[in-house]
Amino acid sequence: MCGAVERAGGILHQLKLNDLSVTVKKESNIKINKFNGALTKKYMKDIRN
Amino acid sequence: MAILTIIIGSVLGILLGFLIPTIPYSVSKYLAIAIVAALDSVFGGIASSIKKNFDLKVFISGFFVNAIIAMLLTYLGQRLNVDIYLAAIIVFVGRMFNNLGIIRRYYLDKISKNFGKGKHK
Amino acid sequence: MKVKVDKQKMQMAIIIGIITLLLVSSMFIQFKAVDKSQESNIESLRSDELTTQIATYKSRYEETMEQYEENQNTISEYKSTMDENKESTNLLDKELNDTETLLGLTDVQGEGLIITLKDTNEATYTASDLLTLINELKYAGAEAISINDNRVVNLTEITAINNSFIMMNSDSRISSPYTVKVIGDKSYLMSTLNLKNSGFVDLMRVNNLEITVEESKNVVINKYSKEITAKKMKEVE
Repeated sequence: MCGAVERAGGILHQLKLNDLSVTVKKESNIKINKFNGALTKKYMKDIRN
Repeated sequence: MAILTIIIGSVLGILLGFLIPTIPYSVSKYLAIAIVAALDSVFGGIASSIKKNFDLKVFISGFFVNAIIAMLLTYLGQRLNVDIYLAAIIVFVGRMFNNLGIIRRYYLDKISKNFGKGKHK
Repeated sequence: MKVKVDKQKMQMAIIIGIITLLLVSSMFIQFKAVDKSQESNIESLRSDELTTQIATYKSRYEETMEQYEENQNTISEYKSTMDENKESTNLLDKELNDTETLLGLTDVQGEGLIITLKDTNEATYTASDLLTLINELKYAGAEAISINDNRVVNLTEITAINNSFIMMNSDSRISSPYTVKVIGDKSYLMSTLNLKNSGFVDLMRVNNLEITVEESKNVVINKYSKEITAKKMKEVE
């Protein structure tokens, strides 16, 4: 995944070209918290099958 | 003469037996005992005629009365739930054996006498 | 005398003949009756045979009744267990269905907008433009979005390939005209898109891009039909 991000024309390159500071680090154990908002289905109605 | 009528009667009897529609099974029990009683009378008649004792009146009355009494006793037995017909069978068949014995002895006698006659000749 | 004797003899012979007739016919009638009854229907058995048959049927019946009662008990046991399970199953089922719908794994329908974006000779839409639109729709409370019938879900990417075409959802190629369907509060969606200067419509029009927005009471959006994986991530309490 890192490879795709780093190639020329890739997003990192673009950002750096615009003098924006970006760091990318590989981690073996990343914890991402859950979404604490609400997913609603007020407007959509399930019509499966 | 009598033998002729016996044969005619038997043949007609067989025909009649097959032609008459089947009787209901419940009645069959009584007919059976009547037949046994009748057979006993017949052999009794034969035995008595051998003993020169034959009385037509006794024979005919015995024939029918025994049959009827046997049927009545069977019916009574049904109502009382006692197998009375068994006793009747024992008596009738017992008498049949007796009479058949008498007939047998008579004819054996006759045969051996004829033999004896033949030998002497 | 001889005549009398003959007469008597005749009489006897006849009587004996009649009696033989009676006897023999009775016997054959009886034979026929017994033969017929030899078909062992239960209806024509004699009383002693009937009693044994009844005893047999009685024990068979009792065995069957026992079996039947056992089975009935097992059935009612299963039934009560089923009823207990049914309630919790129903709740789980409902939760599962709702979750699938929220993830975008089901076909849905509702009020919303139908937005049409067309490339012209002067200006073409880029993947970034599409992403900006999607972002704005989400901001405006969109519950379901699709572009040219490709469902936009959580991890949907929209990528430009060599500036010649746009791909989304790994392998679906999309091209102009782009039909973007949204389900949500249609008036709120409409007003957000149409905000003066900052709304998507104005942004696109400024760049001479062609865009039409239509309200609809009944937008149908198809489900996301690919796989969503959890190969690298693991749930943490």
